[in-house]
Amino acid sequence: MPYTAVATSTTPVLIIYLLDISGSMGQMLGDKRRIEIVSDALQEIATEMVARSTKGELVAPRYRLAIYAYESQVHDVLGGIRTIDQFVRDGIPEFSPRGGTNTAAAFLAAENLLAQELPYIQAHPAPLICHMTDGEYQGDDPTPIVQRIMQMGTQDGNVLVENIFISDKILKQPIEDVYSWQGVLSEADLANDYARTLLRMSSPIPESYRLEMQEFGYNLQAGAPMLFPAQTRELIRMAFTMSGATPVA
Amino acid sequence: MPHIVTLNQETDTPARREYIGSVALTYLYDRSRDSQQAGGRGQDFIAFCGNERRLAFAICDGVSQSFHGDLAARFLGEKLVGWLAELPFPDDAETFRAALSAQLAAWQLEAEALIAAQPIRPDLPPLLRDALMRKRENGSESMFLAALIDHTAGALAACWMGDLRLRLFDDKGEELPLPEARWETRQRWSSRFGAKNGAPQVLLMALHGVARLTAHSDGFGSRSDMLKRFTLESLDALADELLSLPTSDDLSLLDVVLNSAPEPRAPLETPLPQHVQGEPALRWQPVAGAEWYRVWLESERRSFTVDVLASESPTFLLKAPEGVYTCRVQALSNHRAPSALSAAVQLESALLPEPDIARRAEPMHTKPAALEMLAPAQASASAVGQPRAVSQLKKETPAAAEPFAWRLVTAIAAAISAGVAIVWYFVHMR
Repeated sequence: MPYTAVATSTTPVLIIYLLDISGSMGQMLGDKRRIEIVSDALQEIATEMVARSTKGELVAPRYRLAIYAYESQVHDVLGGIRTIDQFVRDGIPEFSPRGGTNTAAAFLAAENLLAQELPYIQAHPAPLICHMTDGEYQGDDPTPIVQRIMQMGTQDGNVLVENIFISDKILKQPIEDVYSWQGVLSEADLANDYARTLLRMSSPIPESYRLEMQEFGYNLQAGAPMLFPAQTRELIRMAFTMSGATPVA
Repeated sequence: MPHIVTLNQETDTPARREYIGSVALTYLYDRSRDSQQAGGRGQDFIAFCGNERRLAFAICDGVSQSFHGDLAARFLGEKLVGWLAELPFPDDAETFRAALSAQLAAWQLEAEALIAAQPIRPDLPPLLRDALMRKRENGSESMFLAALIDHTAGALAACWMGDLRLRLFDDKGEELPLPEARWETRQRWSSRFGAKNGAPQVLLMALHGVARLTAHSDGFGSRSDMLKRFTLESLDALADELLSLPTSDDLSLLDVVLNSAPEPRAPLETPLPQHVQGEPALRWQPVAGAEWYRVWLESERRSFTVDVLASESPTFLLKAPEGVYTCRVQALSNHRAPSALSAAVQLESALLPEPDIARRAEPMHTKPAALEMLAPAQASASAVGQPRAVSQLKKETPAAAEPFAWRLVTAIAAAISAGVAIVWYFVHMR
């Protein structure tokens, strides 16, 4: 399963964003609230997806997006799946932080969506879940659900799970240069247990994605996990770039 | 050298063959399924220019990830063919590469300003505008493959950047190896940077032992082996098959059979175009056997051609920057030698020049589809000599779709009218 199927208008890739909008996302990271930085990053990757889908002024529906914002409850932000050309018309949603961090419920919603969709997208690129959080889950452990999700897939490969952890406490050594950073190379790089939990919930980067990331100037090591310690705005941007790195025709 | 012949990027051109001097030139241009369905331009571009002594051609593959890759493809394709057509045949590969590199750098300066001036419509959704502005900052990019066949020297000079392919065949149809050739997807020409990811690739070789050469874009993918031997019909069938695939991409192919000649039949009759009174337009009587017509245009500033399908009304409407244009019409067929060029007819265009690179590169935009939309009565009117209003010809842009609410109201009104009529019928007629 080489993850080489390309996203086209007839075989679009499904990308599910699970965005933590719990109260702590209102905290500052640099000169902006975390939630605002996430909105900016989402805007950035959506723009990139549009750019990758556009010929002239035509936006080909190469990406299908679902966004679940979660706190104690899960909110289906787009009201189902939207193609990128529909998303262009609607624009970037706004988020306001509140409540707790029910991560398991968010992954459960993603699992249900995948169960509905996968029978119809077997010839499409493997779907990707991009999970962004800034803190430990509350309530049920999401790990078993994520492991089930990682066994689901299309002919192209199993569902990919990417985790973005907005925290400056995830790595023992800070990342000095985002473009030369090779990724989390071992558990020993991680500074706390929750980071290690997220590591187990993260897929290895497929080679095709790694090569796409190289086009953006990032130098991740082959097989590095899709786990991004988002300590800075640049790292958040890099992590979201990964979510749009499905090869396109 | 004659004018540069270009294929329209707004429509598809099925497999065609024409004869230039001693060569048979076959070409095909199909837009990707996405572009066809959305009515968008193809990102590929084909241009050629030839006579009895030389043939220059270019196939360009605009990078859709760049800003309007079709613009870079067309700009570069026309430049390459114009340059190669006039180029003294190079003495060696390095001289050729150096001359080409200098040209690519010079064209970059010209293209950069044109791309920067390319407008982005203010009514587009903000996300799309942002994406297009980001792309415009990075410029428009195209891969290319261009070649000059010099019959006098019996030699070929080819150059390329990217993964378009040049293939040579002997007289038995066996493919000849090109061991030095490298086709690198990363290589391309950019309106912002000029040659990207390395120097252009070049090939100089004698044509001894070469019977045929084929250049094609990467849209043929794994089916490119089907191009070893083909007919016009099989080529169209292959294009249809490829367009049905999810990965459908633009298809362009240009094939040159050396030392070929059409069937020994008389060339097509020469058309006799007439100026449509009061309009910058020509019309002519259909020529028996013609499958398409080529209008050759020349002004003080540039020369170019426009093809008109024979199945359409034999009419040509000039839409070009302001100026006087000398026009000649030629009839062409897949199976016969083309006609001679007609006598010149002068047309005057009153349109103001536009800064848009698309208009500068391809000032004529009379799509066959626009003429096709004419009602039969209008077409027959022109055939018997009644001038046709320009407004009737200018149907390039389909009318905007009616708002849903309006269509709903009119549908309800129609239903009510029908109901009233039925009631009236039953009340009064029975």
